[in-house]
Amino acid sequence: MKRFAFILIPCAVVVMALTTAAVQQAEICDTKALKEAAKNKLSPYNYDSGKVTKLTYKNKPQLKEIEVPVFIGEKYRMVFNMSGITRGVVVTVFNKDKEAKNRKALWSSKDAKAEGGLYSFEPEGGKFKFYVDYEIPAVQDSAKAECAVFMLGYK
Amino acid sequence: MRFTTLTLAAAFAFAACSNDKPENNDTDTLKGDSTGVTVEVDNEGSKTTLPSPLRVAMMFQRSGLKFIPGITFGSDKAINFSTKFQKARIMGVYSSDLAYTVLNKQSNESQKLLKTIREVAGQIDLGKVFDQTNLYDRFNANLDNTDSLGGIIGDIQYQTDLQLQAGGQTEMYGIIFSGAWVEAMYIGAQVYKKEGNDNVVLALLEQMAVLKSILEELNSYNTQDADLKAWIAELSALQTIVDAMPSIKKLNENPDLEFKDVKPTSEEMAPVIQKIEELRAAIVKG
Repeated sequence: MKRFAFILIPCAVVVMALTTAAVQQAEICDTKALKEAAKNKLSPYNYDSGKVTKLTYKNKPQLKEIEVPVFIGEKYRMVFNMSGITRGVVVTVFNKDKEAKNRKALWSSKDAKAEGGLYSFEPEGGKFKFYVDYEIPAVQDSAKAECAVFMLGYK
Repeated sequence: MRFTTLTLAAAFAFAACSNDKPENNDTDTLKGDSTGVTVEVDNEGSKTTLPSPLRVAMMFQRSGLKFIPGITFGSDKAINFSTKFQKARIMGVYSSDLAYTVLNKQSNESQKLLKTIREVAGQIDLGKVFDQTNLYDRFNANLDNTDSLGGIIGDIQYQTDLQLQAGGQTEMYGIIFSGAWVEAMYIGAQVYKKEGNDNVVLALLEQMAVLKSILEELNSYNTQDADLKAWIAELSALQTIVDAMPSIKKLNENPDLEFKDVKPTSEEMAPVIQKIEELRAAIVKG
């Protein structure tokens, strides 16, 4: 019994610590407000899907890629809400994934103007999928994680 | 000494707690596109989005998918489902049936289906989607306007996504959509079997690309739930059948080809359709 408790109590402590960390992560941004702003920018396109991506900073540059399935014959609007991002994250939409050698950048936030941290882009064509890449810069301080919101509309 | 014992115990406990989780290396490295600098690839969490059931149904609609009465599951059978997993999957089935009936202007059936979806949503902690919005009334007030219904269904999807996130049950997202996708494929397959429309085959083919995204989403949950693990295994079996199709192999080996450039034969489609029918039967059995 003592041996069982010896394992169980520290285990519970670790689980509680992890749970607390998870709750803190979940509260790093107001996802509802970020999504609402993105959805307003989506109009007159119908909402299809959205994704909140947690961006964690490190002392080396990182890349996070999101796949977006698309179908032939549809018109799309992509909206990015980067208003919660403070560290110069660049968003780029590609026609192929990060492993492909001859992929083409279709749009980049580097060349676009944001309105209140919101970007929108209407891609043309598309076969199978688009790929959204978040280029996360290296930081030297203890920057907190932030949230980027992607939303797709169609008509 | 006491501190050392506690530290060791905590370390042991951490190992014990983590023991049944799969080893998961969430980072990789890659040369940056523009800079050539080596960057770390963050693979943590889900890396895909999934289309809404209405968008999937619209894609089939563009292929000339006709309405055939009796193909959908029916709006009065949700009572047979007991677990949250089963209810989430059947909610997906109902979502696809709703999209199919809305696009084919079957107002009465659409109305019944939305009522059922609202009931099932309430049973899986998604009641706020309808309780705190006027979406149900808006839907019923616009039954004869397909364009407006498209926007309202989009809003229902949006509210569902919000509630899943707020309730910390994002895993339901992939489960609901997997049910919706199987139902959409089932409807497409049944219409193809009855009508033999080649464009529907191309739509089925195009939809097969989504299966990989579904598996990616479901696998990202690293679940220990037996029902979900079994469901992932079933969907993976379908993926294996799809990957073995000569048309899919041709598409994968020739990136410049379009779906219209490959014409799968009915013999090629038969095992895929059979597996889809099995998956759909498993869902509706409860």
